[in-house]
Amino acid sequence: MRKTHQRRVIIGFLAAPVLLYTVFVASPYVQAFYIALTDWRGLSAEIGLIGLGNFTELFGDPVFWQALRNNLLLLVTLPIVTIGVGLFLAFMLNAAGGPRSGEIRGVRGAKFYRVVYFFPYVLSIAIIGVLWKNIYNPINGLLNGALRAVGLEEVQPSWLGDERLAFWAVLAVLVWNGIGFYVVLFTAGIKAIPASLLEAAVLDGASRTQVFFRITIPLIWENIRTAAVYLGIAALDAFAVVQIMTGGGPNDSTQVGSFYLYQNAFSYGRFGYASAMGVVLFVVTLALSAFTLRATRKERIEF
Amino acid sequence: MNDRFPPSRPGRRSVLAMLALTPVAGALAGCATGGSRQSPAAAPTGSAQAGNPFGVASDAPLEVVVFDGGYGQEYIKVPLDLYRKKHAAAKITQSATQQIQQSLQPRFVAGNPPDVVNNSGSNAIDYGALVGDKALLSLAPLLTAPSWSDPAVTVGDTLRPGVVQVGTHDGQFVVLNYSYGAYGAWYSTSLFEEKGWTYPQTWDDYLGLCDKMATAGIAPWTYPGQFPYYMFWWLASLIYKAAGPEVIDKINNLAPDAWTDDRAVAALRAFEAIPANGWVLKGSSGLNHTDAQMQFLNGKAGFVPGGSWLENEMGDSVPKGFDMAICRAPSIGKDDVKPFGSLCAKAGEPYVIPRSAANTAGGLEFLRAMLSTEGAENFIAKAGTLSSNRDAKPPKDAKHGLTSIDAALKEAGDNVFGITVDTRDSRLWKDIANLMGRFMNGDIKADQLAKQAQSLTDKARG
Repeated sequence: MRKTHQRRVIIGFLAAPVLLYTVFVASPYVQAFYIALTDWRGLSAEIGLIGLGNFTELFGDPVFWQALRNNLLLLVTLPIVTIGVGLFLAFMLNAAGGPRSGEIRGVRGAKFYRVVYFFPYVLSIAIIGVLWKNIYNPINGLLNGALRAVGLEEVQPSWLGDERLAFWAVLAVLVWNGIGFYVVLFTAGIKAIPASLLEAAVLDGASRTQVFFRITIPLIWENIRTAAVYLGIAALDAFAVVQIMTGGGPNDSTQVGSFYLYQNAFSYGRFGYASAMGVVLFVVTLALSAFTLRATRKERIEF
Repeated sequence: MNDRFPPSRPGRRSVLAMLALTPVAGALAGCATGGSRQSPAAAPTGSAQAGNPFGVASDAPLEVVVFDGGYGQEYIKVPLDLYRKKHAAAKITQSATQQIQQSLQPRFVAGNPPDVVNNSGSNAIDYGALVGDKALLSLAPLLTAPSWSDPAVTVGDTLRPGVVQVGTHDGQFVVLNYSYGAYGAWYSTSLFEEKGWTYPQTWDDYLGLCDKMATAGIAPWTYPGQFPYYMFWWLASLIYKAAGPEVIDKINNLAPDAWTDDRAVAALRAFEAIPANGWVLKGSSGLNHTDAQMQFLNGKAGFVPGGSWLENEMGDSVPKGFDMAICRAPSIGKDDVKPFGSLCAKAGEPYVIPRSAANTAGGLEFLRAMLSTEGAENFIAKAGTLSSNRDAKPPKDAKHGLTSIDAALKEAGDNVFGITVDTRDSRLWKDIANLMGRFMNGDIKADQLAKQAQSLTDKARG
């Protein structure tokens, strides 16, 4: 009797979310797979089936490959750079100051830096994009102004206008934007390391570098992996920053999958083609996730 | 892929990750299916008669959506008043947005679009899609209807050259472009006067002038590298001047051997000297249009690409005493097909009537009111650009640039051409523009520009 009642309650609670999820998340997915097989241009309710035509075109589309390449490059560089710098800063803020009055601390002024590093994360992504677009402005921008101020009048790169630089300029903004959050994340990890461990290491004569690589990193490995997941997501997206700062340009050198998909759907009116792109990105993401799941099994360190 | 990804608690995070990554696939589909096609509602009509050529039912409501862009929405008030006076019982709704596509696409799909749509701006609904889906009403009846201001002539008679042609898709006149503007590049008459320069008529003189500018510490050219399509009209002007309308038609119609026509290539090769000599303002490739225009207004650059809208767009940023005029293409060679003074000029600011709109007769009537001399002159005064109505005159106190365009158009006569690649194939337009950006940057030469633009064109033609 009690069991049926329980079941009723559970079903009652679950039904609404499941229904909402089906209508607003699952069914559009299924539809996307269908639309990918059509030449739908987004206006009429009549849809013409064209089989796998969109996919054939997609695999021969150099811009799409460029976009995928950029996404993969981001997927490698963004986590490495952000985690690397984030870890370094977190370590400096929390454990690099050496023991003072018997306690492990960060460098002088650590509290101040912690707040400063977090600033960019508080800003909305749209503001960040516009802000950096102005900083990168080759003629009136802060960056080239600074170069001029130190006597480098001849070195005035056209940051977002140069095919060789634009991608890295965008990457720098993504790193700048994210770093504060990861410093906080790693700080939490470092704080959770028992002080006795660090003190023992220092007493045994370990240098800062040794403490960092032998003690800190292994003990906050969980946080680092979490960070890698989040950054991986950010790298496969990167839509907002690209849309605001470069529009995929110059000459598609900063194109990413999500933005190219958006362009095809909403600028070129090719919803069928864009859906096909969505399906391919879906498969790519799925494959990458499955791969990482397998590749990163590792036992946990207890302390 | 790095090997530090998840998890000791497998599953949850990665599943979340997957879901977070893929909503794009689903989001697109959200608005797609599920609505069944509605056949266009039978438009309520009264009977056609003198003064009411389309037979508008005078109490039928009318909905107008205006693009809230550079021309603002003030100008629409006059035609609204004209319409209201004639059809007092009609409930008129007018709204303005910059997100035409985002706000109206669902209504097209649902079959209840507004009666008149100003499908303009960077968020316009793609014309290829509109035409392909036969979503637009033919505006042919408008051309033969009597003009609002002078019933003795038809509306068609009051239109400037090329208006019907530009608005014709798949053989049907479906888009009324309300503004009329010149495109190409600008120079500063006040700066030229101060330096004692004259605007050159031949390409040799043009290069000589650029040299003088460079010596005077002014970069001859700047351009908005973020929107390289600004170069399209000027480069096309050179091609039109040298190679004539046939080649421009080929370009517009995505024909073979359009860009690679010998005279077209020669025109591009002539301009190649500008980037090759380092006559493009350093850093231009990273500028947007207003940045580039500011450099021009501040006297840092001699020429800037753009069209009729520039003077108004920059508004108060134009320094006092700074006068500007539209550039005409100098003669490239001895046997240029077109004379000096030929101009890239085109009707813009597109208005359409959706075929499935409720009050299509009212829509046509409203466009007729817009094209009245009164409505058009009000537009010129408010928007600072000419109108498709050839009888409408600029106001006495018109700005220098507008006056220069009015004069240039008079002088050009029938030697005007328009570029329609942008509305025909927005993708091709953007891709060729990218090439032009690289051309201005010095990354590719004229020959490569021509060859690659042609291969893109061939691919787009399918």
